Amino acid sequence: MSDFSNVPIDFESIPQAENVDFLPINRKYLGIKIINDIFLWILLLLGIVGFKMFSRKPISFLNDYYYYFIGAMGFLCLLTVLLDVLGFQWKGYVLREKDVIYRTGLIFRKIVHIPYNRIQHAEVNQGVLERALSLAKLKIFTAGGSRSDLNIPGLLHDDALRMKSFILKKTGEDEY
Amino acid sequence: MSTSHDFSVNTRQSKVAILLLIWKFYKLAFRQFLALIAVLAVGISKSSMIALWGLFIAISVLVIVMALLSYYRFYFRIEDDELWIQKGVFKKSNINIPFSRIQTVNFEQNILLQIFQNVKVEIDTAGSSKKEFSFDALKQPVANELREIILERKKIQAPVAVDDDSEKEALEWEELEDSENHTIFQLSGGQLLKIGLTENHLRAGLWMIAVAGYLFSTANEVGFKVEDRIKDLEVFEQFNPGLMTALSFIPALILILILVSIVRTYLRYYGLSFDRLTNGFKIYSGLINRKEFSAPDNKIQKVAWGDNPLRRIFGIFVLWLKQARSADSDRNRSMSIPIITEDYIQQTLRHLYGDEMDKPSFEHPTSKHFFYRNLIYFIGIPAAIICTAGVYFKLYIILAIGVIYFLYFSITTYIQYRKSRFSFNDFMVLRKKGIYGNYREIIPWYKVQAVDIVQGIYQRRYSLANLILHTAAGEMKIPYLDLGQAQKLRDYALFHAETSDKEWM
Repeated sequence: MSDFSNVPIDFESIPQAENVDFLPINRKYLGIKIINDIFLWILLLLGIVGFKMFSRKPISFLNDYYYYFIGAMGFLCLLTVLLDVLGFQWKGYVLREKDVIYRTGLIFRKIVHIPYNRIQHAEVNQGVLERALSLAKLKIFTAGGSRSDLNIPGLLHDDALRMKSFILKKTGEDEY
Repeated sequence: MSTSHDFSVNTRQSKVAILLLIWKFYKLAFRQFLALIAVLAVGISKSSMIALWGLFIAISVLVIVMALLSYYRFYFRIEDDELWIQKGVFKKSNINIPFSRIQTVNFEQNILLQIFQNVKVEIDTAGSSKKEFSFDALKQPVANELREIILERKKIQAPVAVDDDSEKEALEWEELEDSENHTIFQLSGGQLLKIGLTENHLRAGLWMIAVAGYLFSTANEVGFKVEDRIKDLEVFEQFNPGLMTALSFIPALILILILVSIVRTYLRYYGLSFDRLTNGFKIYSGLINRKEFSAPDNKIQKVAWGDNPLRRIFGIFVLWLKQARSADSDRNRSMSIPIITEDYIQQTLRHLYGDEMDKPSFEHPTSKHFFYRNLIYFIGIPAAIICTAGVYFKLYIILAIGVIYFLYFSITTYIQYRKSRFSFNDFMVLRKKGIYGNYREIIPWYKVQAVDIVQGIYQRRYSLANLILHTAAGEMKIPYLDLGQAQKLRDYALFHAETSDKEWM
């Protein structure tokens, strides 16, 4: 091998991803998340209430602790909302020249970095509520399974589309 | 290369495919009508026998017609560097797979295919699109040629391969196919026996339980009350085993597990040959069902190898050459290769990474917080709860369980902490880990496709972080790094992924 080189690794000369400014997720998305949380818990609550009302053979366990159940569910509902509100502060994304970074998580704080030249494709998704508020989700797919795929929620729809075409352009540049 | 088969015209599979299709449809039909067949078979009477035969003939006619139709309505051809497939009995569907999308082309031969010298060809793509495909049967030379065309054209039209050098490389693949192929090693019968003996026998046990469970549930579904039948057997009434009798069954059980492991090893690895091609590896093995796996160098994302306590006695390792997985398939893209001496692993690594292996690297131990945190949260606290409960309810067996839990997991976690290490140079990262065995994995930096930095609450307090390096064939987790170190490594990995012009997939 003629181009053999063995220079010591100089970390200082490598671009650092530390001092980047993250862009926040749109605040409206927090509203959507809270509505989704509450909706989910209401569905569960309806399930339990319905079960108690219509089941022929009442389960004594459920009957005895009925109000505890409902109380616990209310508490869990509040807790999820609280966690979402707290976690929301940390969520953020940034598109750099050669990669996209997204941070998320409350208890386990996670920062995901994906270079553009490793992205297989990207798409923009909208749910019902998101469409009403003209928000969207940007989905970024990598090769081989979904372990390193990335989902950036709470973007303005136009921004998401622009980001997608930017990323796809960057992805394409490396593949001539 | 002389072309003996014209791939540009629509071609059908080999006629052997009809037999295989018939078999496939029979299996399908059998599963569908299982309950009905069982009902008829249980209450055996003359009329049900006639019904059974009638059903059988009807199914057979249906199966044969379906097989013939799906055979005759299946065509494939090659056009513009794409594989075109036309199929479908009732609804015609066209599939085209660009060569550049194809990750690997693998062969498989069951007994029937071996007799007729045909192969089943599996074509695997790595995208998230549902483009997975396999031919039931192609004649061996046709299959070989097809694979060559796919792999070669692909080489020529690959992204970076426009300049002269790479084109030369593409030609070399072809030339050296014949000249420089050599077998790295083959397994003999005796070596297979060693491998079978040192298998993870617990896994064989789980496998047996799974099979038994499947049979049991199928039988129940069909209407056999297996439990009742067992109870009905008079033997069991007189049979009231004492502890000693029960214990004497354990050696028998272990013997059975070992035998099962050995049989499975022979079925899977019989006649294993691990070959080096110019730009890749080829693995060929199997007793009844012969499989041929190819692993081109540039497709290999991660190399891993490991042993277990039994294997260490004989110096046996298992090597995995991990290739990009396709999103929709659970099929294992990384053939595991049992290897008798470590020397062959070094040879394989040298073929793959060349001189990069010689670059110096410093081995980093894992932070002691890895041990402390697990000791407190996952071992100490649960053990304390279990023991308190044991004392409170005066159930000393629970107390004992608590103590054993604490001792066992403290020791294994300590070993895990001691064995967990990583090292890197400017080409790759090597990670070592294990509890009972030793596990190693290597990822070249430029194969990284995403990097995560994750911090839990405990880690934030001590400014530590987990670094996760994702490749298209799975990830490598380096736990409990100094946050600053994790960030440096993250930057380094991204730098390589973003600046490397090597073909990474």
